[in-house]
Amino acid sequence: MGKTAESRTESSAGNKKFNENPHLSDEKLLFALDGELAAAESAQVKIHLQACWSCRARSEQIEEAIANVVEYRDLLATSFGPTSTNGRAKFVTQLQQLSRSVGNPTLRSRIVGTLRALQAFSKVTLPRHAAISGLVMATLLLLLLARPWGVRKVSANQLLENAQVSEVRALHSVTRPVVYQKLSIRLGDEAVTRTIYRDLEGVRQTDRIDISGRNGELSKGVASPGELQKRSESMQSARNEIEQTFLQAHLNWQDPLSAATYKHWHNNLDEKQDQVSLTGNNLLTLTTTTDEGPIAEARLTFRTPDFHPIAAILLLHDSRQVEVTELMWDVFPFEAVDPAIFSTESIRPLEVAHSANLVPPPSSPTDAELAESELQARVAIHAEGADLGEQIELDRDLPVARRSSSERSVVVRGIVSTLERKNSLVAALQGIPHVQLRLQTVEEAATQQNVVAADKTEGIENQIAQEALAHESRAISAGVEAHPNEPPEGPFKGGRALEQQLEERYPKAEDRSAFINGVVELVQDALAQAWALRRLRDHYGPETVAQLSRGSRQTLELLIRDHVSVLRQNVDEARDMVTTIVLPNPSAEIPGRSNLDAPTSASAPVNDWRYNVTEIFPEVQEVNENIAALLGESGRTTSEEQTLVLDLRLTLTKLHAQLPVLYQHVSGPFLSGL
Amino acid sequence: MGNAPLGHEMCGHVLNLDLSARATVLDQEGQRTLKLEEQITRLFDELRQPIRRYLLCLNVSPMEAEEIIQETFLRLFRHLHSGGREDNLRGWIFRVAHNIGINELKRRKYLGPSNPRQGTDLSVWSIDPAPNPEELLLRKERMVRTHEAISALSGRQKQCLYLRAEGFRYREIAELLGVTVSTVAEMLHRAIKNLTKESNG
Repeated sequence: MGKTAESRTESSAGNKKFNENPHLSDEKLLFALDGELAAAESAQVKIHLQACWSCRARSEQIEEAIANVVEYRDLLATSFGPTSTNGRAKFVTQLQQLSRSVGNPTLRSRIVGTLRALQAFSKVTLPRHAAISGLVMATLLLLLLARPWGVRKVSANQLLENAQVSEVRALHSVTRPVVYQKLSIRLGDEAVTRTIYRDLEGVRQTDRIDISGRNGELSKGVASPGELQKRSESMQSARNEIEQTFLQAHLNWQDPLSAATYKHWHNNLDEKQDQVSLTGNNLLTLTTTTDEGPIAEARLTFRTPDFHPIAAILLLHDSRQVEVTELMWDVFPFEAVDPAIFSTESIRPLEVAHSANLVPPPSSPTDAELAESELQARVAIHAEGADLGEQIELDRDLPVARRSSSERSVVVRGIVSTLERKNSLVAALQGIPHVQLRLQTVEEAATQQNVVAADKTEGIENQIAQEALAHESRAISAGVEAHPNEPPEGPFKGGRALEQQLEERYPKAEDRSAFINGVVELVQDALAQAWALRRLRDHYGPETVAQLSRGSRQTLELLIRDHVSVLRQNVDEARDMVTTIVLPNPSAEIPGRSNLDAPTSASAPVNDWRYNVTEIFPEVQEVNENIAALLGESGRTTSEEQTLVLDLRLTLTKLHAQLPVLYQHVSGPFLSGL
Repeated sequence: MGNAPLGHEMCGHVLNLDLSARATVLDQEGQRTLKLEEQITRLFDELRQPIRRYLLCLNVSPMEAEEIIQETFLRLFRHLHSGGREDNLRGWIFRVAHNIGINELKRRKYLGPSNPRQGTDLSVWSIDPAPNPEELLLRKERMVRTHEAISALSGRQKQCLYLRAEGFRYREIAELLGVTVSTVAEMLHRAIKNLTKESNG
């Protein structure tokens, strides 16, 4: 009872607080138990708990819940039985193997380790000044021994940044710069030599690829024509293989050796390890290792004076290796370069001097060449995610409004939201042969300003800008039909039964709208993928595919597969989300079941991707509309809602059955194997 | 039940061993990697059970969990070998295991309906024999209720809950999951709220 008297004085001191907010929130109780409150707050809670039985009881409930979680967790874990005994042995073996394969710790890790060890040591045993001077001396000694000047201080991003800045500086030294780059690219025994001229102002590039044989030796034309032809074919496939590898790793094939390309790849990795080291005289190598994507390790070597990248080595997970070495790099003013280079006519004599031409040099592009360029452009646009609803179009066979008026080309035109977006698209498309870019930002299009090179006719640009604008407005009005479901803002308003269900499952309004937005986003993305597939279907009929080389068909396969795979994932996720909330309705289930099998069995035997895309597209559209109607609108009767739900589930189930069939079909060499 | 047996048992021990181990790592050329191997194996022995427990709770199958653990520690070797940071290795290891686990689950989901994992069927659980049948029954009931309450939580809430149960502080959980501390606090608060509601009802 003496205690009561004590606590009374305490609580009267805090009485004011008591009256304002008599009890502690559950949140505060939990944070106090978890030791997550500041000291002062924690002390307040303690005092309050001593005084307040009801809060103490709730606090104990929380502790009970915590105890239950721990008990449940242990029970769950033990229900799977003990860990396997050979698991440890297996791990130790793997670790030993790995350890043998990587060798001793790197110089950098040794330096870092030594410094840390020294730090730890000095903390314990030495007086402060002795520790500091010891550390300084040891560091100096290490620097003297290892001579890693300027190396450890440079991070991967800094290094890449420096390289880009340096390149920009080099380019600005001349007006209207043209970059000339000659590269050797090697995969296994095969090697190709590429000569690239890049006119940055007009965003034009010509690209010559010569194939050389083992050990980089150029074939000198001594072999018989038949042999040469055979060799040419096998090397062409090696070239395609290299190109495919670049593509799969989302590396820019048009610009295979540059800080920008490396940075783009590097920054898209979630998990990676970088290491910068001095390799030889005036050379720095950036090594990035990762488990993501086809590349296990990439090394980019820079010259230290100007941070110019001169070589790259890509180690693939399948233990193959791609080597890119720069043979020459220079920047010329446009006037100093034979302008005919970009009209592709005179490039032939220029190159013949150096190598045997196993591949015919680009002349005025044929249909097949244009088809290849177009595909490359599509892939580049896809890699940028710009084929999912942005206003970008590809046209072929429009004459180029330049000096060589007879030249045909692939025109990429459209309007993008920001300048950054435009620049990244230009960079991605840069250097694809026969491609002309007519990209404008919304602002540019609106003010009718010319952004493309000065030697192009203004009238045409204006016309295109207007066309593009008109196209956009068309697309916007069409978009109302295609994307009728803007994510609902504010509180959810839906039919009664569904609303109740949602409210039960997500008592908080924000969770509900997060759920709704999630579903809507998924189906919208699915629709964008379906649109992209439909566009590909329209473009790649059997005749067009027949024009493509085998490598390009494989590329097209990859493109289609990518869309189908994302579409399938979206539909599955949407279906999962919808089924959790839209509970089976007994009366609705019966007609549903009987309808389900018919379309699936009908569509299954047709192994034609274009046919399947045609079938699937309206269904994805329907799902989109139903979701919009169901989640976005209000004022429906329960029976109307039931019909909608039934339709939605039917379509989703149908898609769920159709998409794996399509996916399986497009997983094989469905175009290249023909 | 007052003092909940939270999984603090691992924290201090693991964090202390790196500097001393690192000092010996530098002994001699040939011994370096050997010591690193030893260090990794020691961490493996210590953290294998807690990580497995965490992954199983996330609905990863035992076989997958075993593989994820192996992969995680091999990555740890590469991480340390290339001079990666050594503070809070326990957090690093859990983060990597968590990420691989979540990716694995996504992949499984994407590959289509898989056979649901065994083990959540409570009737087959072997609950330790209690002093009397009545207590056993009560315990079973309590576990069923907890199971239901936890099943109703969102994925994030579960992750926060189980990571907290492994002894991680809010700040560490936030770092591990790549969310803010206030999100972790919110998730845990809501999870515990549902759980207390369940045990009262």
